[in-house]
Amino acid sequence: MSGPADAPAILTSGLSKSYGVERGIEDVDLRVERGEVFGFLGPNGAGKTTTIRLLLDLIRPSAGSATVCGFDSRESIEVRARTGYLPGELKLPDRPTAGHLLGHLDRLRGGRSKAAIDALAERLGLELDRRIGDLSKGNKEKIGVVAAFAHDPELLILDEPTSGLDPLRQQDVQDLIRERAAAGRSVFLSSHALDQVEHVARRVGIVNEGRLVAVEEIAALKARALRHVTIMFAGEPPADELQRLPGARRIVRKDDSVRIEFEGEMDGLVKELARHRVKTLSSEEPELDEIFRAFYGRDDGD
Amino acid sequence: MATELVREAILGRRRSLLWWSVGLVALVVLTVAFFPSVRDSTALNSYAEDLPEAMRGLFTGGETDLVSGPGYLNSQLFALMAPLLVVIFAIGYGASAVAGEEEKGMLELVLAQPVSRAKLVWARFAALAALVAGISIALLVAVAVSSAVVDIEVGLDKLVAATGGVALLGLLYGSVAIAAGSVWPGRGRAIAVASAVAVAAWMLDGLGQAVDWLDPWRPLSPVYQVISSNPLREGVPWDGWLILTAASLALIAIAALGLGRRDVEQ
Repeated sequence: MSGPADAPAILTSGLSKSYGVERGIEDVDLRVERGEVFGFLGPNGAGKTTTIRLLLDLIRPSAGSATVCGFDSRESIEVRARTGYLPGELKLPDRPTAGHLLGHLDRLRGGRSKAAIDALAERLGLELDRRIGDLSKGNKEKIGVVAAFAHDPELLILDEPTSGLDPLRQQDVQDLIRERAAAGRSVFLSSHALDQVEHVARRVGIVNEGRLVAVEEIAALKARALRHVTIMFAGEPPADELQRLPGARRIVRKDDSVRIEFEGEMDGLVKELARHRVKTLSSEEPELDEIFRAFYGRDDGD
Repeated sequence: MATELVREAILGRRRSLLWWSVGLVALVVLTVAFFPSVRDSTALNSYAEDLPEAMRGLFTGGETDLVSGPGYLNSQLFALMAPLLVVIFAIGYGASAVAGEEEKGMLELVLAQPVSRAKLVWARFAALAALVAGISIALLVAVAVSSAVVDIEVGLDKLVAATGGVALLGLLYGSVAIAAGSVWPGRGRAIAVASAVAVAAWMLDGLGQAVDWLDPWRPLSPVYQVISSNPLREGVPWDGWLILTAASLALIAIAALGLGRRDVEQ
């Protein structure tokens, strides 16, 4: 049924796209294995969407190449027959109903997914007989999700799939992704937020300013990331001791509270705290840019 | 799959086709309804003869015999108004077919399916041909029926010859719009390019009837090729029909190449 089955889901080599001085990507070498859920992380404008649109042959590289499911991206019919794509900035026509549009896209693939469209719409709570123009942003996003998933593609390419969805539906989409991964499909999932991919992806690539700066397992990434830990003490905070802990980056003290930027394993911190009386303790998940900073081992000085 | 592309494009324009056809039929009926009151007047002929030649060329197809049935239909409908409406309709569709869909985000969705860009462009052209055929049939039927009612004597073959010319103008300028929108993004630009071509060709043919140095260039105008030979009297200008058909196909071949080479705008 498929092309070279042992070929990686995505393989790019020196993939570049320049838009003059604007956002583009430069020299991206990426490998996503079959059956893998791969997170593609970066701030807005980093080049995630550009990379994805190159894979689908919607735009053409200025240098380098990409293969998708073993086919060169320029053999776009083969590529697109095997992929399901959810655009990052989903724009839809107002006039047709959701069902009409999805039916049209399905018939362009031979019209084999009618039952799957109904089932997905039911599951996501999408009303197929409503005019698209009358739907909320979240419901429009569901149309994109259904269009990408309905034909059960070998590779799902999802550009910020949960943007615009309420948390409950985000969960639905993550469940869908997990199900497809369990069935052996590959998923390429872009996001600007780690928490949108960390529960489904094992590995992530990080793009910044058009360059792929790292490919890491999520566990390793988070271990190296900065965390904000806020501790309220019953008494004088042991600021000096905390400052000396390996991993403690910056400490801000306010009355009985201390806020620490902490990197890496937290064992030392916990043992130190055990020697004091702690009233409250909270740890915030790192933001993506903080992960970047941890990655380069540098501080932007803000 | 190709039929699905064509079908969807036509379905998306069916309301537009209906309303444009209604408007065109209304224009035809009103125009022809006035014929009985001008039939017996020679004043209209002297008015036409008094018109500067350039004006006559532009607005009455060079016709001076306005009170004969074919002369009236030619000058009042086929020389300007009917082609104008059909061409505007065709350019409107042609510009939206690729560039307009692109602006709406639909192109990105359709091209995420296993559809080649060339196939998409040719399917849009097929839809253009069907839509132009639809509005032209409305024109033909309206002229034939209303002419019969007021006793204008004109053969159906001649009406087909005139209507066919109008349809081919629509097909050609619609193809210009498809091509412009395929080679460059932007629905507005596609409309502008196609309209500019249409107006330039119309002026070339009309003014060419009066301006000596322009006259040799008239054959370059599509209007000259299919309308100015007065198909209501002379029948089908086969050369002209062939030239316009070939030019439309060539434009779509360029469109397919152009869209195939460029980036799809987000």
